[in-house]
Amino acid sequence: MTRSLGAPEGTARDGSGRSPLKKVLVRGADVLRGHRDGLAPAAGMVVLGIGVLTMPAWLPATGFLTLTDGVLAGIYTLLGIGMVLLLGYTGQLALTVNASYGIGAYATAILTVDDRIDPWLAMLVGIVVNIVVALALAFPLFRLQGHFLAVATLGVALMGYTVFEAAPVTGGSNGINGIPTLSIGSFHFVSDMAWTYLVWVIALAALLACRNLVTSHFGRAMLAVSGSEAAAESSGARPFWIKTLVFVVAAALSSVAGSLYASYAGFVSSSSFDLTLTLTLLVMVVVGGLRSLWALPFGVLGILALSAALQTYGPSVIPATGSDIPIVGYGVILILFLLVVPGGLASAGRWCAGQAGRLVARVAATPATQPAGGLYGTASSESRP
Amino acid sequence: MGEFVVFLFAGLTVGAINALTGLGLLIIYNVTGVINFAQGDFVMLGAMGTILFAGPNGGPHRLPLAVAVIVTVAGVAAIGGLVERAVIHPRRGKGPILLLMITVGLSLVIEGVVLIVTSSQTYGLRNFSAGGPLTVFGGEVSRQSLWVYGVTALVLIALYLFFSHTRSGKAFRACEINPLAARLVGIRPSRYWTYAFALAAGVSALAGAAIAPVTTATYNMGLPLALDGFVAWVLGGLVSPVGVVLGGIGLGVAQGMLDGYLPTALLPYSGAFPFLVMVVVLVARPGGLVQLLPNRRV
Repeated sequence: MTRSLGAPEGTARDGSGRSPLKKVLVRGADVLRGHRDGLAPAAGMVVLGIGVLTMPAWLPATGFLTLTDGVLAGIYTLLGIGMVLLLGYTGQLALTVNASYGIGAYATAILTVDDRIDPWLAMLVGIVVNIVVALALAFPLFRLQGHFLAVATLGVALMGYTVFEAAPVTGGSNGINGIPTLSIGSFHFVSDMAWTYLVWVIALAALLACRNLVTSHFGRAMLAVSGSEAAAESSGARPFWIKTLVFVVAAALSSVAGSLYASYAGFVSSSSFDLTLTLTLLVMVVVGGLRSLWALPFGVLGILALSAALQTYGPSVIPATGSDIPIVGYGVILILFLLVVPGGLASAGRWCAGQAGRLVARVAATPATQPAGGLYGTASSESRP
Repeated sequence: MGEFVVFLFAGLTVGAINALTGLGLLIIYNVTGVINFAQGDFVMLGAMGTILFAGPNGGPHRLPLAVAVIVTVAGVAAIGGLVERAVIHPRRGKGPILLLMITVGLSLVIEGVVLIVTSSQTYGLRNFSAGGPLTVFGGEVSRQSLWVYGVTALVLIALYLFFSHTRSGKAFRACEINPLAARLVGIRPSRYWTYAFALAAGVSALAGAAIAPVTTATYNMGLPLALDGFVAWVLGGLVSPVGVVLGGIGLGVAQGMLDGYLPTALLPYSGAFPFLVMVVVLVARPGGLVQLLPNRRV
């Protein structure tokens, strides 16, 4: 967000000599218009934190969502982070998320089902396996660019799904039953509320860590790769390693999500790891905003809510469509967002905040003794360059 | 021998459909550079439309089959052109990945609309010609399979004649080879984006009509077909029509043989075979398998 560099013209920044209320208003206007970036992540964290803490209250109140959706939203957020990093920041449409998610889930399922090893250790094993697989795949796959990468990774994803379905050790579509839940010390995660908090603590920590990643030197290199690999390389960045590292991070996060899912659900079967998952995630990520980590949970929750609402109320409007009905909404939403709001909820939110900030700045700059549109009014209502 | 022939014919039927889907992908890719994720859904629309107009199996016959097929192919071609105008055209030049994602959305929308209309039911279609299977070289082949081969051959010949002997076909190729030069001689490449989608949708719809009696039709039959079409298209080196047809048929036959002869323990994995081939070819030989042939001026 280079906008914050330097003081842009037309800000109502100089509020000296005015009443404290006006100072607050001027400050607020600048924050809303994105001139003070430092506060935005803190605000995002606070809003998300409050939203998650109050989930047990507001999720059931919607009438069609339950706390299970709260847990799933956290898991999807973990999966979505990888896609935002890969697709949004690095410009690589890699569709292997269902495979890495599956590897994580099956690692937990297979290793813990007869209490063989501790679930946390199994999660770690899943991460390690995923990192090894991701590294092995990155070498051939990242020789491909653009949509060829998408086609090749789609092939890998479908091979992964076939293996999950066919390998004797995974139980195929019958799945694996009786996976023990996670526990810390003597506390066992059993209730949906405990699970919601556990999953979201992990998801928010991952969001925060990845936000630090994308605002770092490395993050700028990721953006450079998404702009032009040749240009990035000529500036000293190494596109192959950047893409590989982001791919590995995404695989590790998906692995954690998969392990959490297996421990939460107590049951995994191959149908959880098909292409529908990847497409659903793509819709969620586009709705949130391809280049926004903070907006991702909103996209995830929005699509989960849409899906749940369609499944609850859809059959009464459009009879006999069964449980496949959410895809009707997914396609329309995906196309609408890509055509109308390509920046997703993040850019829509930023635009709204900017408008609000402009309004506040105008109010703040209007001297009480003068009518609106006086000297200060015209000066501050100039549009930003 | 008889067993082998049966597997061969089964593979050829799948291969012919792969080839037609792959050709649709190729037509769109060559002109627009877009990978159309919704290609399989055009096949599904072709099958569903023909069933709708001709009357599903078990119900009363409506239109004669030939009329139903023609109406459907024209209708799906129109749909293909319209969706290009509506959702692809406004985002031309915004990069292949965005356009690919839009076609993913398109695929979901088409499936969703058909889901609402058909209520996720499976429909069958009567065979194009009555009569039991024929015996060839000691193996049986259904009459509908022969129709599939015939339709494929017909489409290939028609496309060949169109692209090499007609003015608009040559204009298509001009847009592929050099859009800027095409504009200089009065061809509007942007308009050929729409035509390419319409043509590809029409070809796929015809394939859908031909396989409907064999495979039956459901709203979500498109994605697996599109995926096999991708493999055929990659095998053909992305730009060569002959390569795509050979790739599609080769893939179908190989899959048929695998399904027939693979040991039982490995059989569940045979579904991964096309994708393994696709990934290996994309990574190791991006020019497709046609590069192996001595003279690839196609």
